[in-house]
Amino acid sequence: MSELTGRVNFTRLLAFIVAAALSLSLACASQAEPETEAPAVTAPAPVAPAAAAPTTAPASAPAPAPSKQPEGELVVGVPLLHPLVQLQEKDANGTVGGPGTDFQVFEGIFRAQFTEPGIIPSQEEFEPEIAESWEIASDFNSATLNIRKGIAWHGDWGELKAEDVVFTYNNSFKTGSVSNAGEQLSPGHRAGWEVIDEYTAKMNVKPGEFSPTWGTLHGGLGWDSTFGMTCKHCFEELGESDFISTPIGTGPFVANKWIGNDELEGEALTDHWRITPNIKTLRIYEMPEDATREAALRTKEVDITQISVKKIAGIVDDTGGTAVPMGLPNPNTIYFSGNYWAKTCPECDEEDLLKMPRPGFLPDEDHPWIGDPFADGCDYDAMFSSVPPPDESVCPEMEGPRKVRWAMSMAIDRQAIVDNVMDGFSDVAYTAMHTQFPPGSENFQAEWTVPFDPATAKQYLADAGYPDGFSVVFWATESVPNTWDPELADAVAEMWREHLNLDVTVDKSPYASRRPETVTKEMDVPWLHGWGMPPGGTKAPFFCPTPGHLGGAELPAVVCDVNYQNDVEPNEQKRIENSIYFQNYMAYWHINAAVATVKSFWVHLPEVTEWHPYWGSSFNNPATVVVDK
Amino acid sequence: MDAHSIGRILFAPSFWERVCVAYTSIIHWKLTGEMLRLVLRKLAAIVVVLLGLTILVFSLSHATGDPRYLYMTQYTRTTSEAWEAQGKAMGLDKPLVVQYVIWVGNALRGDFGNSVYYQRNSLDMILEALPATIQLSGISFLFAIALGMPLGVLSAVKRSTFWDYAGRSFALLGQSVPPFWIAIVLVLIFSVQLHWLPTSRRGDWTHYVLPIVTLGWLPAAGLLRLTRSSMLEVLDSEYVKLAKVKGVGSLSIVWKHAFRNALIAPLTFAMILLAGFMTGTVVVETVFAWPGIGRLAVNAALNTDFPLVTGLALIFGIVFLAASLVADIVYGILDPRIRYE
Repeated sequence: MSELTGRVNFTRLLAFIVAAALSLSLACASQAEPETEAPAVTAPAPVAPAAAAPTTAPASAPAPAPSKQPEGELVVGVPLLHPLVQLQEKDANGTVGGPGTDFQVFEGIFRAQFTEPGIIPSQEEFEPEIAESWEIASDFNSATLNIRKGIAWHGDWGELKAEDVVFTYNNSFKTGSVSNAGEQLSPGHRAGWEVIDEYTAKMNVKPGEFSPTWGTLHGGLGWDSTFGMTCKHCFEELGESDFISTPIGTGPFVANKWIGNDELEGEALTDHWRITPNIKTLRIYEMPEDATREAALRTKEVDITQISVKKIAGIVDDTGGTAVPMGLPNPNTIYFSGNYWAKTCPECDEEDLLKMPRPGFLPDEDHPWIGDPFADGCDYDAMFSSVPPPDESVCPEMEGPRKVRWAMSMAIDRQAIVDNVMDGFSDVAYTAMHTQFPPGSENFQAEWTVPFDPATAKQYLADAGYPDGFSVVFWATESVPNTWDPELADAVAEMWREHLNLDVTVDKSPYASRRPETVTKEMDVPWLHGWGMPPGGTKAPFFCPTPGHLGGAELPAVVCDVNYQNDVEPNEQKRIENSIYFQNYMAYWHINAAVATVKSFWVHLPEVTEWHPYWGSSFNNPATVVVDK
Repeated sequence: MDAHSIGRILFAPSFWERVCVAYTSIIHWKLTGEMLRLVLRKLAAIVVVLLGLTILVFSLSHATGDPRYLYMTQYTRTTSEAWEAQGKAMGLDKPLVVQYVIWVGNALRGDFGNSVYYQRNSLDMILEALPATIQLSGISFLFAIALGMPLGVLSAVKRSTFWDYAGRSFALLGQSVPPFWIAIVLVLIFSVQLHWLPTSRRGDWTHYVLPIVTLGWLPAAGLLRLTRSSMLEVLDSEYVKLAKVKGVGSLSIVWKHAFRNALIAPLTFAMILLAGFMTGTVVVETVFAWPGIGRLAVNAALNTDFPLVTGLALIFGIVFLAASLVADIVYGILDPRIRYE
């Protein structure tokens, strides 16, 4: 009977299921391109040609012939396309000032001068963009910016005015803001902006805290992103939720579509105030897998893409393309976390760190790399008064862990990693400030060099009381391989095992999963990090007391104070001297150990006959691309 | 089926309406008796499982320490004042049970909170990504059935021949080779070497081929093996032997007598597979840059985007439970013995 019962409905049931699944698929198939599309955008009215830039010798990126109309399309494969968060206070990933300005949908107040790839632009002179000129007050407590007239917002949103500039900046300073760009501003520059008149905005600076390198961030020379201008009245009319995901910029490309983690489609404006792009359509596709991007380039589905260094030689040979090194290389550096040595944190509520030590400050047998400057026998003030410290000021609780850190650094064969892991497309690095002081450069100090010397390293470990090694977790995230190379970390771990007999566990957790530990100061393991920065900048915020993100160590005030002077020191040579002073401490105490640089390479096909990227590690300046397909 | 239903069927105004009435009557009949009890039993079980799922997901938010960490970004600055304010806003000052009830209440309304990473409503994000995944998994599901079941029948009927070995080899490969490897090799062969198909992304029909093969191969292999073993069992049964003795044609035996009865297990398995397709597209969507919920889940996890992860976990759970309910009902319809258990 069961067979008969089954047979009665079997055909119908099977047909029904198949038909339902088919209908579902077809129904869904007809809904191509769902997602959030920008509202209909019309080209802005023609504007008067811009006034000449007031900076001295601004080297603009070569622009295409103005009479030519945009045509054709450019397809770019990127490892990551952040979803647009068009509101500074919530833009933790810097989407407006990062990809937004890179892809020329948004614009900043000014930007770094154009330089050929590999050449760091000036940090003192910039190319005007939204601001046609600016003037710094004689007391250094403010700067006044003259906003260019006639710059139109994409769509029917009218003209950009000073109130938009002020809105953009002040929004990033709001309490609870997680603004990427706002966080990078030096503290004195978070004092608030104000509108002077329709086309004039004023940047206020806390007295005595004017940063001589204030233009670095605004010019796109910062670590991650700059400020892209956002539209105040659009925010008020659309409301926060719609405004956040509706791209309204002023750049030469109108974003018709910006779908996070998927694609961006830009359409060239033919009458933009600054530049007429050569290509009509810009398509940015997110392709998370390196292998997929490589395949897409080989099949010419994309014209330009980022490729890991290990694949460059083969791809360039096979496609006839060109590899372009972009931005500054990142010195991949091991931070020996847990060395929280500061006594106070002026910016935090819990100022007295002696009473409330950081949770990650665990100088014990399980953390042999963490020193304890507060131990009996250590003269804290004397110990940090010079490099090297005066005799008798250092206690075993500091000297032992210092030797452990040096041992772990000396057991790394950096040249072998460069040759074998990085395929030669890399440089040996000894300091986290590698890009400021590369080995062999004028200011590089001989004592910063770390020799590959396993025997001495082993001896150091024995001196510190660990002749048989110890167990250690080494966090090297896999989630940003073009910045911090996980294979480099594997090689380091293997060298520690081989030369020091360490029991190493490589933790490849995503960056975001352990990032909170850097904010709460619970981080107590060595981890791979490091980024390149231009000369004259300061690393102090990353290794000195702060309520925010930190490199897993806090140096004493005597060290931090000198380096913090770089925020206000106008003399570049003096800033470099401060950085050398800071690096001397870092090197002696070996708070971190750089290994090798990781460079950002973008490869384009031969069909891309022209492209003049600005300084930066991400794809940018598509307006200058000429494609001959 | 009662007399009233039979009367409605007979006196319906047109042929197609009679067909429809007959169909719905049968379904109605099925559901009014033991089937209804079966469905109610399963629904009760689903409620319990859902309750467990919510407790699990809620517990996970506290398992990693203070839930406020889950909402931190790289640029969060932790002053104790801001910390306390955030705790209050999240209801952390209330007893755990109250927190759970509030959280479940919000989740039932589809409010998982704004995505930390996207700064948008989590449910909106999921619903926007869902069509791409339904599209991919729906077609892959059909591909798996269309390939796995006929090959399973062929393998059983042509037992110990070339066709059997070929089918089993296909199944062995599909079940043993990781999908990410299949994906990369397919791209290498069909895109890079032969230039027949695009490497990735959503587009015209050519964009579907490689992701569908990658996604469908493993389930097709499972269906093949299950269909084959079921067919072998049925082909060895007494009534099939009797049919052979009576001289019934081999095609008729295979498709009319054996196949229908052998399909019970594979078909119910296929229902679960459908849910697996919906939730198992993570690798395929990442390799082929397919903008579905698989990639959304990867990005949410990589960014510790807790509200989004929570929403996805509950949606995935509901999809699985719904699929298992359908599978149970289908099984109950196909095999009445199930209803009396």
